[in-house]
Amino acid sequence: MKKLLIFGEGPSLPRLIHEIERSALYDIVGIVVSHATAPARNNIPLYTLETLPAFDRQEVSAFIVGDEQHLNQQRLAAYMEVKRMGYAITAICSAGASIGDGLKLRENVFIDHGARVLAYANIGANTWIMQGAEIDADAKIGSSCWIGAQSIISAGATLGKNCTLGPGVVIGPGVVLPAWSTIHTQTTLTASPPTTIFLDARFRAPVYFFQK
Amino acid sequence: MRPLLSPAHYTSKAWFDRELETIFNRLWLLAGVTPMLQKHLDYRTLTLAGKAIVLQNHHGVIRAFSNICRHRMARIQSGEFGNRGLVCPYHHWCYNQDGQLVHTHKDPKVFNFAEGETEDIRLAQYPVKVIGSLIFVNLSAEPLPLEEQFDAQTVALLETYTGQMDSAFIYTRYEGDFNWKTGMENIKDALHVPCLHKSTFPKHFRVDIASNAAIHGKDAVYQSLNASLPQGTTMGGIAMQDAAELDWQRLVAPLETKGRYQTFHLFPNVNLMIVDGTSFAIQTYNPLAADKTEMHMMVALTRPVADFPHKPVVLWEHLLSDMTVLQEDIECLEALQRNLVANHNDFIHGAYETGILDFHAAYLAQTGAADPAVMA
Repeated sequence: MKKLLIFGEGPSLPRLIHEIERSALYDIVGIVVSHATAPARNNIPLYTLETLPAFDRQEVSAFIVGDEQHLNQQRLAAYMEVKRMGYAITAICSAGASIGDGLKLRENVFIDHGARVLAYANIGANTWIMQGAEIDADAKIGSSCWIGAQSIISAGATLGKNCTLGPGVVIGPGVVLPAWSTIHTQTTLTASPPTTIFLDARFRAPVYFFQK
Repeated sequence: MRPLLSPAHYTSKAWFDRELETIFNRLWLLAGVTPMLQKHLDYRTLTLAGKAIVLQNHHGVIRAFSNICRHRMARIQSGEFGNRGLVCPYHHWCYNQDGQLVHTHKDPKVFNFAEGETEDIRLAQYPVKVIGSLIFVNLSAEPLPLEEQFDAQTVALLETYTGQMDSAFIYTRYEGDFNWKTGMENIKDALHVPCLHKSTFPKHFRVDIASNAAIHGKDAVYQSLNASLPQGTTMGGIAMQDAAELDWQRLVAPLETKGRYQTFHLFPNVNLMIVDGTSFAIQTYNPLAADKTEMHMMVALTRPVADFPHKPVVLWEHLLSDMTVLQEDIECLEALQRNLVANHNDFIHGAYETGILDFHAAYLAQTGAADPAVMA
């Protein structure tokens, strides 16, 4: 089994460890956290950047755990930091995911259990596709996106970088969602918005971001 | 102190109609900011004083027109924002940069206008004035000079400060069931901040209300020193408490208001805030009915001085933070509005509310004090 070092923690970590263990592709050699309150978690050694052993970077790949907070920027910042450290960063695909032949899995992509990604879809680096989501043929998803559980990205739809979809979002065929757009839970989008859009239950109307 | 306005000013259609006539159809109204209309054919639509308006950029000049086609009164621009010419989608009537009808149909027999008949067919056009990045529109046939509404110092500062606004911005609307005046009074009411927003308003915005010299020496009966129109607009600057600079603040050019929470309450309905000399937040309380107000909210930063790829995150979280506070305001104001209808008691004002009474005095100076319902 290949050796894997995980950077970060948070609510996604248990499910990630679960999927890695189910896939039996990786041996997790450590988890790098900001404050190690115990020597190990699930029998996996915990390290901080200060206590991290000098792993052979030819033998050990890295994966960065994060969430969708701050429009995915904390996850992106952590990913960039680990990249600067010189680790090869891998993608993680659940053994229970269904992905088309030849799909390119870029760095730090996570495809969760039950997700289905059809052939010729294009997934950007550091994009996470959560449980049960479906990415149809020829859909394009930019880097550092978060595709919520049970979401559907229809055929030919395009998401710019840093987009965040809550659970159950449907992006209709051919819809173009500009970078940074954020769509809250159980929303169907059948037309392309004129600019970056934030649909959020805390607001009574769409929020638009313009950068001209 | 005894109030100047009664519940009827907030609830009656007669007062609302009077306001539209004497204030919103007469004064200069903030209708947008130039970053909304940066490019040729960029447009913004909105309803001001019951009129459907489109702001349209033609080769860098921003003009305001009625957004109603002269043919069948369909909407010409249907989005809230967009980029297209003045072409009605219903039958493709086209209007030029002066709002004049220039095309109806490729076959002239379809409309069969006589020669010269279409020359006088044009969209109603409204005067526009741009101060810094702020776009003001006047809906009156005989607009008053802008300098009668805002004094020279206010105009100069708005020009200087908002002229430094970045072209990126975040924007939303918010419709609430309250009167626009209670929205403006709320922002002039510093005491509600440490009460209603005690857990949500950032600590560094806290103000020492009793230290404001303006509230001392007032009598139990409010006496307006000067109810002229420019006095309806007020400025304020509160020193921000020492706090570590946020990471992104190093990436933008600060204004001279750095270290202050600078506010402009522009009569009649604008709250413009400049926070720590690095960000603008603008709220407009646009009246739709006596008990319905559409708030327009936008946030922009000052101009960047370095690469700033995560600017959308900063703007989004700034707006979210504002919204958390505003949500508390709106829920309070909506309950207040319902109580104004059901309860005929008057407000009881304290000394610290002099700013609100100044606003009321300016309001009455424009609308007249006589009850329009009684007059009718």
